[in-house]
Amino acid sequence: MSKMRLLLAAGIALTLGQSAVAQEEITDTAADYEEGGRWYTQHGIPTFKVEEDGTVDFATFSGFRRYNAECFQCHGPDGAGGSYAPALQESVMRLDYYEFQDIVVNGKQEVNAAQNLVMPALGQNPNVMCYLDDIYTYLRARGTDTVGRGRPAKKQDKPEAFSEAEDACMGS
Amino acid sequence: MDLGVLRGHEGSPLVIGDTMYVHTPFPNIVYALDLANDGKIKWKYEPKQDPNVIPVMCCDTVNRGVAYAEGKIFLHQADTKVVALDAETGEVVWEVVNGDPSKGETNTATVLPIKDKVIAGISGGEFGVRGSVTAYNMETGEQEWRAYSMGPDSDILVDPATTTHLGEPVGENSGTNTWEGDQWMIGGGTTWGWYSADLDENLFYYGTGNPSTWNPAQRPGDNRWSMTVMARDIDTGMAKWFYQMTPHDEWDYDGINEMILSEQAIDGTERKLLTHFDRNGFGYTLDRVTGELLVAEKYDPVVNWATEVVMDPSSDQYGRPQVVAQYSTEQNGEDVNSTGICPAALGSKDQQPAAYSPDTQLFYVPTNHVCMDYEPFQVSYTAGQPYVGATLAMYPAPDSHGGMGNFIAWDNIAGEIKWSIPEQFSVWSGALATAGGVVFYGTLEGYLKAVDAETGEELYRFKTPSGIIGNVMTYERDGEQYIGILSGVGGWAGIGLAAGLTNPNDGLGAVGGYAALSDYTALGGQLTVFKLPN
Repeated sequence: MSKMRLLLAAGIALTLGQSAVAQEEITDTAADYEEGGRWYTQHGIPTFKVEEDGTVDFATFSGFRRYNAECFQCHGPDGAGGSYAPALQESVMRLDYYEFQDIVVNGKQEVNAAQNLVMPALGQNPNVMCYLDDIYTYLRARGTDTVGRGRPAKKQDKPEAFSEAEDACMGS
Repeated sequence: MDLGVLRGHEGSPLVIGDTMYVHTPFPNIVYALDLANDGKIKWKYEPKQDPNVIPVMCCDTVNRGVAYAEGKIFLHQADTKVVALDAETGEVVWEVVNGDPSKGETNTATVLPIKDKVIAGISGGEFGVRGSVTAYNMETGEQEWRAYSMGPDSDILVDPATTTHLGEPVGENSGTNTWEGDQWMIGGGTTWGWYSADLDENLFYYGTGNPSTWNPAQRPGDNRWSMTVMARDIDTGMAKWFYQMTPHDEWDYDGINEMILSEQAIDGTERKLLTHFDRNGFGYTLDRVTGELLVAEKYDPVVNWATEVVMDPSSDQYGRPQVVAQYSTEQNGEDVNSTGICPAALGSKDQQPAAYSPDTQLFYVPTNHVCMDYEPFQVSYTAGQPYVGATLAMYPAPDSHGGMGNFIAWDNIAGEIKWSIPEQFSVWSGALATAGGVVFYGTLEGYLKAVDAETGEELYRFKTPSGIIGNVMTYERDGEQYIGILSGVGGWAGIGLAAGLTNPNDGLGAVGGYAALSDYTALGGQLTVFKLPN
């Protein structure tokens, strides 16, 4: 019992510590409810859910797969960044969900004397767009260090609702 | 000299007479430096390119250099524009557009100026581009012929009766009959590597890349002629022979690496040979006149996806790698993670060229010592968008020295490693062998290293300002020998290794996390030239 209280106290301290930097970092990642095979925060933003034994929700696992197929050629493995493009595991802790969507859909350019950064518009790419929420929750799980580098060791089975939404989106 | 662009610097400078020509990654600036005047800039050419080409290039905005012939410098830009510049003044003589970046067609390679032609390839295998090689008239820039990697016979420039594969005629429709339906139209087989030529045979040689997509289940068949060594007539583009190294690729082992030509004795008979270190981990030696396969052996002992390449011409498996079921991403199926495959998708060696010394008759090969997990899944094709279809995790070869690279000396006739130098990171620099018995290469930490050609013993090292992915070059001027090297980390190496590689199969007990390249070097763009002692 006393052990439980200690853990709880540590949890509160952690939360307070994070809220102090809330303006730079988005910390609200707690899974509140599940809908259509995917978890959401209390504000309706897609998020990850990792069980105590390390089992990740299927959407986040899907995000790992799609990220390391569609994004890593520029942004490096596991959101860790490379010499070519920024580490998205850090970017998603500053960008909110809607800014993230906007950049992926419409692309982004910072072309000037100092740099040539160009992100393509991926809004027409079903391999990205059908998994955009998955990729977002995966990167947030990376950014909060909830999920480590590499392939998550344990994953939830694919929910029926997830398959249906995937097939509808990919047209398969 | 600082080149003013902070991206991956592949390729090498070129010295013609008293002038050194140096190129940069995107935007592909070319500098002409006056070596008679302390490297003063004679002229500078900076193309105006649409920056939207940048993200369509897979794996950094590298460019592998300019080429020279007949008083012209040839630049093949990222946006596929081929430009001929007056070597003295830098003025544009002609320019021609080779591809369409909006469909994912880009360029990273240099061109091959040969006879009265300039031969150019194309990139974009991860965008469903159908690879091709095109010859332009050296004087005017007019297109003379184009040979696709797959498609109808009239597109791939074969004669079904006389073009051979391992000694047998390829037959009709060889570029479509190992594809399902129209899949050859987005078939990949891009041509972004290095080109060689034998003027006596009137042939040039190159390799084709991976078939699109990385999900093998979506493209049944051998997918000819992706992953193929090609010998074509310089004047007409007509193919003389093909050799497909990796039929129905399941691992992204592009076949584009350089073809090194040598004349060597085999069993007492002088042969014209072609030696090729493929991404798939096999070192191939072929007769470059006939296309006969002479040697196919692993040049990194950890290579495990295939047991061997069958060398018996009477076997129905002749020339085919014997795929190990455990490492077959096709046999394991979609949505299954195949683990422990060696080499990783970046290959036992990528485009960074090996060097040959006629004195030692050895090849000096920069290699990767990296393995992977590979999970293919369904993707859909959209023009101009990535068309990948697999998740990869890469890590240093398990149960080895812990590093991600080796620099080896290879005997191409025995098919054996003579010596091997372990390196912490993949060796992503082109090698140089000199008549003085010294071999040079660069490392991703930024060292230029000189080693003894016979023993591999290190003779010298110098740390340049950034990681080296360029090729070591040499030139002579006023009786002095110089060594030049570009520094500037990037390319696949910079993207894949910057944050370090972890082995997800190590389990909780192992020490996770390997050296991160970003702990050793940062972006740069420099040319360093050394004068050798007499």
